[in-house]
Amino acid sequence: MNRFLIRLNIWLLFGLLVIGVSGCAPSFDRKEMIRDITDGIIVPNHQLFADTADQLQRATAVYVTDPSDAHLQAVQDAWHATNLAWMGCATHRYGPIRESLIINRIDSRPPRVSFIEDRIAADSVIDATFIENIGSSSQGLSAIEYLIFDPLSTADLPHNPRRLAYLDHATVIFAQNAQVLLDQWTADGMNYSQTFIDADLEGGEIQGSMNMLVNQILHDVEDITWDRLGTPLWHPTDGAIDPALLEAPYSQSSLARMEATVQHLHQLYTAGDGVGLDEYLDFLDAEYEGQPLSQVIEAQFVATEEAIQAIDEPLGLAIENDRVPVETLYDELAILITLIKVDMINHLGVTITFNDNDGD
Amino acid sequence: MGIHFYFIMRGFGSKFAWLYVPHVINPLIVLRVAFGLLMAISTIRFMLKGWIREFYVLPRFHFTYLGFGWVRPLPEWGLWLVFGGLLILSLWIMLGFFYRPSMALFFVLFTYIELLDKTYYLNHYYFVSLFSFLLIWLPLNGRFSLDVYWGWAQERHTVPAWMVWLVRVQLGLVYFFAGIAKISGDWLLDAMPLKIWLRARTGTPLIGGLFDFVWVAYVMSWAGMLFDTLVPFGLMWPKTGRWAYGVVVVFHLMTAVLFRIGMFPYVMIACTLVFFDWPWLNLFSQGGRSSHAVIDRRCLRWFCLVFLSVQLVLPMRHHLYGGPVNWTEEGYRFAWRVMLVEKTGSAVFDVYDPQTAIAWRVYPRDYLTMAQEKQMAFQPDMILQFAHYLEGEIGRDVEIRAEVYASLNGRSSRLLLDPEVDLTAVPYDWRPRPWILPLDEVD
Repeated sequence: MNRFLIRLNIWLLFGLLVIGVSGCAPSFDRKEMIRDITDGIIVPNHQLFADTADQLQRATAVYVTDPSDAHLQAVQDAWHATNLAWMGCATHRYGPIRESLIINRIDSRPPRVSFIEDRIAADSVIDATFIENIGSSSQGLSAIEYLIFDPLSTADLPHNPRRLAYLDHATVIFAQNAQVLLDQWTADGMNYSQTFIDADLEGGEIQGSMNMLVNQILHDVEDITWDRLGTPLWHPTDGAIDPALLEAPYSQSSLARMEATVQHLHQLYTAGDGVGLDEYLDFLDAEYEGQPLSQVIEAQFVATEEAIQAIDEPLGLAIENDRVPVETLYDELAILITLIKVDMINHLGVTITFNDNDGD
Repeated sequence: MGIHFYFIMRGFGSKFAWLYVPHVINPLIVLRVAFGLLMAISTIRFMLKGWIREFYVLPRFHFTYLGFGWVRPLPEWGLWLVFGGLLILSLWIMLGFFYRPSMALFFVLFTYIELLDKTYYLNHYYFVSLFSFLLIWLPLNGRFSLDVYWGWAQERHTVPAWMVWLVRVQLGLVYFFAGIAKISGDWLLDAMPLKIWLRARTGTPLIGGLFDFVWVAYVMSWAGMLFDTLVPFGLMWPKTGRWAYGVVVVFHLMTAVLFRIGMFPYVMIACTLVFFDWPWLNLFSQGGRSSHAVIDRRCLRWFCLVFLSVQLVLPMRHHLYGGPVNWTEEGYRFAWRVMLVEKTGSAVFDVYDPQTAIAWRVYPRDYLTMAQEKQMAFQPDMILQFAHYLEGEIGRDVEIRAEVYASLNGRSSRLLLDPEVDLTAVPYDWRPRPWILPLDEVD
């Protein structure tokens, strides 16, 4: 019995020692990093988006009552502001927000122009209920873009009450959806921001917030490179150049959207003034060819932003008139993909997938 | 050579007569119950996670194994039937009901599923296939089974010792080769990939903080290598058996907590129970008989020799290819190379049509699921398979080159394949692949 007690005490002491040493470790507070990114970037971005969507709705209401060119210009300006604000939110489609599909209702591309025109040409009621019940690609940012930027649509707008009604109710529902999305992140609503911060306790797991964040950053870089830029640059089936495949052709804002997305991903990477993934990589002593990996990725973000700024005309025109800077941008983005997908993820021990699976 | 081998075989017969000495059957009975139970749980888990649809129904293309391209997934209802069958068979195996046909059918169905797509290859799936094949030939229903209860099988208290030791040696080989594979610079000198994995697990309650110390990764790397290499001997030696099993349990439970490796730890904890003789089971029934070998001795010698030779050669075959196996993956599968790499990759394919002189780029995510793309992006044989599939999808004679960057255990990303090689002109076979670019500093 005494021997048993002695052994038990030795094991207990060993356990306490392990826990004590564990508490003294030079740890990196990953949860603090996620908090900085969530509270400092994600939530304010959603607030900005809700505000700009509200301004778009107000500008549209003015235009509907007085459809002058000046008021249309105000609507277009408000749309551009909302469009760029949205690029700071579109990345963050996690958990219940992803499942709610509200993001699809906010911005689903390309718009279903034929449906929109058919409804305007028909005689059924166009009101808020109608907009709420139609498909994602017939409402939201892309449908509004078509209505206020397409030359034929803008020519018809001042004279067609049904087109005006479609625009008016589409912006009302759009602003409502922006508010609903904001509420999902804030304490007034679902408070997903706290759930997201707490989820980092399982950092290496599929549902851990760092895993989701890094996967979404990677998804967005691939999306820009392969779809938003690569598709119009190299059509995936026959290699033909097809500017019509641009993501925002009516407003000619494809390049601006890309720039806003890259800037947002860059912001997520550094967490602005907070603790970001770059500092975490430094903590992990991650290197690339003898240099700190964090600095290499930072330099690549800058190089990519400069490549975007070097294109001095709308993307569709640039693809047709001067492909060299566009291809340079593509190459810079491809390097960024490799650095994030291969190097950064290798060092972080993150799993590239949103789906569960075993490994060994 | 032939005469020399003949004398070796005669020597085998005389020196290894102890293999036919009666051995208590209990280890095999415990193994049957544990294996059946684990397989039933594993099958239910697979179905509940929705993996039938995700792994085998949704993908447009499957990465089949060389020589098994003819294995195709059944329609979704058929796959559900297969998994339903696996569940029932697992329970029947556990209960010893209709044992031998149940185990044979289990082996066929389980192996069929595993052959469908190498994306989901796991060492423990291979282990289950191999083990279930082995167990077909052994009378695991000799006690405490419905077969005995209903008189369909003779109750037996003993079996020839080789039956028990064949299973033990097979299990021991899994650990031993897993340990040998860890004797490398990456694992022992750089503590990779544990250094990466542990730092991603610092949120683990109580001990998570430890993983921020680099020395902990070194300690665990060396301990893991020593555990894998030595534990089979510890389990086989009666004086250390219980201690070794305690270490097995602690080790596997720790890996289960720290890493996402599914049922593997539990399968190994359950199957290593076969290293004990369970004498207290003899209290429950008396009588029965000793078993004679189910196949004659000459057949047995050849069966054991061939089976064990294959098991000894397969894990070492990567030496025939040369090059760092963790990078080239030539001879990586079926070799118990467990938890050795943190490897990531990114692959795009450049297609050129010589008829029209048009070139374009193809992104695998347009054809593959995320899991397939992730696995393909760093495995050369899967990249080659995808290139061939892509050529078929395009439907005309094109050239396809792959630009693939990969990173192994924290190294900087680099080209994995020669981007100038037209993969449509490369056959998919067992031969070495000189178009895989070298990774100099890997040993």
